[in-house]
Amino acid sequence: MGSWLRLLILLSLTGNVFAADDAKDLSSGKIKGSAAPLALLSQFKPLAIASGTFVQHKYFTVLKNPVISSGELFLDQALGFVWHTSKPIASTMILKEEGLFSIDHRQQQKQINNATPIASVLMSALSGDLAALETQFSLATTSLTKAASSNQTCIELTPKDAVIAKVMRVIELCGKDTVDHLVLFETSGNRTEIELSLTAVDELPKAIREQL
Amino acid sequence: MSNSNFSGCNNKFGLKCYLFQLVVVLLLAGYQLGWGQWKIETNILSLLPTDSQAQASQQQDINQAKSALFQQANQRVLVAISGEQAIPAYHQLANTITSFTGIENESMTVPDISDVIAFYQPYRDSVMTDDYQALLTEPQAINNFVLGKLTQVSDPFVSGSLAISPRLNLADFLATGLTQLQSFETEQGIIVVHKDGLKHYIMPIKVNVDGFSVKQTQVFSTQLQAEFQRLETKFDVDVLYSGVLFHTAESSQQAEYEMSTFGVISLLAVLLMILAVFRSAKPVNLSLLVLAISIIYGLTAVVTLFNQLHLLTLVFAVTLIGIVIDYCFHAFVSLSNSNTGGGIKSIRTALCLGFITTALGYAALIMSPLSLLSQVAVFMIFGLFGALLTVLLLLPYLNLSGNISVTPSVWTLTDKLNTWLTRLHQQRRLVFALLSLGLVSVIVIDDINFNDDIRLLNSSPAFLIDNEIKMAKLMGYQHSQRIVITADDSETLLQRQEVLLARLQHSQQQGLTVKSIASLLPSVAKQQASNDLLKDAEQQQIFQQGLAILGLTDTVDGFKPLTLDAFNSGPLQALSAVYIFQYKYQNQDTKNIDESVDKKATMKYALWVETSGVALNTDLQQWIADQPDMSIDNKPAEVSAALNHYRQALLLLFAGAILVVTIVLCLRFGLMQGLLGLLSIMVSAGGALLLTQLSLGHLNIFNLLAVLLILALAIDYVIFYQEHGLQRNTVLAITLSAISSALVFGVLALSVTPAVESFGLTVMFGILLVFLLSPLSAKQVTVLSTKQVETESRGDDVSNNSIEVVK
Repeated sequence: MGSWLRLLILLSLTGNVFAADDAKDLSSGKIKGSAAPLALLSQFKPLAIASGTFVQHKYFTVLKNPVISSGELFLDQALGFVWHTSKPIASTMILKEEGLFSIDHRQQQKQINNATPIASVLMSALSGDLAALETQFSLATTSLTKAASSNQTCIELTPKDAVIAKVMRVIELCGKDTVDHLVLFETSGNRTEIELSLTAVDELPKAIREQL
Repeated sequence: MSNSNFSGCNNKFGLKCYLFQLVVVLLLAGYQLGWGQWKIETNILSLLPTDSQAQASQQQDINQAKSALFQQANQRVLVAISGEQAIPAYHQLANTITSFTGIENESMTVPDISDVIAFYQPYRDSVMTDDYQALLTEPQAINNFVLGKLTQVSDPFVSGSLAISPRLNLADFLATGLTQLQSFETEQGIIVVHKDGLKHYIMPIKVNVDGFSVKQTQVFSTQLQAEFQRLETKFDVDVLYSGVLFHTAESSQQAEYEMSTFGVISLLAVLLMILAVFRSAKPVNLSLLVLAISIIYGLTAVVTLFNQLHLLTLVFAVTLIGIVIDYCFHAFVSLSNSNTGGGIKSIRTALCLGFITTALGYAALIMSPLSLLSQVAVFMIFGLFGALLTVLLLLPYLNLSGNISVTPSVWTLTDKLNTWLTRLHQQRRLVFALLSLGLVSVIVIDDINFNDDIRLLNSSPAFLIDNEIKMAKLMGYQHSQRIVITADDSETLLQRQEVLLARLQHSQQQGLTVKSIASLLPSVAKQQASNDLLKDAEQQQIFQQGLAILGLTDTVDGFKPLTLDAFNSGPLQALSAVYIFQYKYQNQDTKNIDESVDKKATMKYALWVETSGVALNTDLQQWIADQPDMSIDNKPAEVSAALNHYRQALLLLFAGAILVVTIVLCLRFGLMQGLLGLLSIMVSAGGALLLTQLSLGHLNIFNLLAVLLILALAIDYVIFYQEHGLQRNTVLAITLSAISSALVFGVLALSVTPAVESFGLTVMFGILLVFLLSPLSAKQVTVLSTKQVETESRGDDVSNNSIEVVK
């Protein structure tokens, strides 16, 4: 009797395992099936040097309303990038060869070590640096938010790095020629939506270059 | 006839005593070999001075904490892999290591941020950074701070803790604390360091080597090095590795190699010389017997008294061969002359006197806090004692008279040498005056500089030292210093740490980076203060506006202390294990050879704070030195200081030894002869040091150790010359002894370890000088009777050579 029971439990367990495998196959099938994401991503024109503005909506699960901020950003693939928030409070994030730095509204500068991968991903995403993205993420086309409603291309990036994956579930990039909409889905359930308007420039302003 | 009967009885009684004590020593040796608790030590730093009882107990305490910390560091190996295929190579290494017993991958798994936040939830209102505390004075500052945090693109700490700690003091505390302690970037969970455009993937490895077992260390080292080699060829990557383990393995292999080759070479050379002089296998066998017995005596004494035997002791102990063989030469030469009034009896006084003076010289070293010196001293004294007993009590019984004879051509050479020495003896005033004058003037002209560098003890190959330097650069360890704090309980420990951190911050030294566990685990007192501050701020409605904007309400929790025990049960336990450790504290006053020591040992706490970027300024160093429970952990500097200290102690010992020698010589041979003997000993020792200084450019403690040996040999020579005059027997025995010692010590000058090389070189110079100068102190030149010369040299034309009476 006892051994029968054990067998039953075993069978049901293996069933579950197989079911899980099926689900995995299905999802990976979906990714493979929908046109090669790399090809889609290549629609985004690589921006070597660019500047623009952004509006960021941060949705925290505990807050009723999003926290909205806006500012400017500057990027130069050779130097790094500057993410300057001007409203509601000034702060700057600078990614350069020496690492990632944040400057708060009191002009106090700090180096942030652990977040460098996330910041460099952000920069690769914005500048359309496919090779860099591919090393860190699995790419897939998606219909998570905007893609279905417009003729935009949306790509879903799932972090390969287990450490990043603990914090960041998925990053979604959407846009026509360049990335103009970016959503970070955190594992905590919070999400950050960023609207971007980036244009290629020949050279960044001197004041910005000096910071990099 | 009756005389010979009496001497026979005497011999038999002596022999019985001798055999009895030999059996006792052999039994003891057998016991130590089979059941003894001793071990072989190869760690050079274990030779450092142990604290004297006079030192404050607090100081002992710190040193025990440091040695516990040092033990930890000894087990650590760092590997840096770089190249295209670095990550697969890293994983392969991680895999291979799991199959090695005793070696484990120590890379810390990065804790899940959500776990860390959940752990801190009960203590959320008792922790804050100093920066946050500074904001608590005005509501606007806090609002701006919170807004700044909320608008950052991605801050997992804010995301994860906003719900449970809306004032964001917890998010700020954790982000700051973890960033400070985990200053390395990670990629796929692997620590990665960027340097010169290359990514280096770092794997910390822990190797479980206890007490530096030589074989074990060598096995681990070879195992790891072979694996690194495989990775390099298979994945085409560069593997850089560093760790005490590799140095220990290399230097122990070097010491083993030197010990075996030097030992064998010098032994062979000496035995060949005996064969050449006596043309018989008997003296060779007897020398080997005496040597074997003396080595058994020395080793048994060391392992019985110290419970450990340092490999370097054995390297130095090769010198025992040199002195023991002297005893044999005196015995053989006297036996070869036994029909003309020689025999062992004729040299008994001189041998005993020589042994007593030498042993007294070494006895001063037994008290040395440098365990290497005491081990060498014990080894030599007991080894020589064994040899002396064997020569005096066993050899006469073997009835060797007439069986050992010196080759005639050797006598011819000896007589020629004797003639030459006699001539030198006539000019001794001139010789001594000239040499003393030369010695003094060179000392005046040339700066004698002493070198106490720890690297003297190091025989590590260049590539290992190079690896260490590269790794230090890679990991930013340059200028890094550890400050060790000890306390009886964890709360005092953490509070004292905060005092130190405040002091470091107060110094405002540019570029100084400080790492400590305080950034994640404040003392309970500080937590209480933080909690009070938050409550005060809440009462003053500092947070009200900010919380209202977010649409949140929250009240500050009551105080709940986060203790070390609680911390150790949390997700950050691995970090606390790195910085805080418990160690067994033994009060030296209660230290006893008795097993009951363990009962008196209590557990104490210690932690370390790491500073890097720039070296601590003198103010800070002084301040730390003034704290009884704090100390900067700087092993190389400590070793150098210790070497300096013991060099000076050794100079004092010389003064003592010289006094002993003077007294013994003057008592036995009269004031004038005693002082002459002393002069030849002093000029030889001083000259040896001077010649070393001229050839190496500096002197160190090991040259002084060599002088101690020169003194021992010189005392023997001087006593024999004083007892017997410039007699051909004495000249021959001493010549043989000098040649054999030169062979033994000359080999040491070839050692790779600078310490051993220095030692060998000085002794070489010393022996040469002693050989030339000790005959000059002889009381008189004995007339060699023509008859005796004719008998011995069988017609050689020695009698015509000048044989004069000086006095």
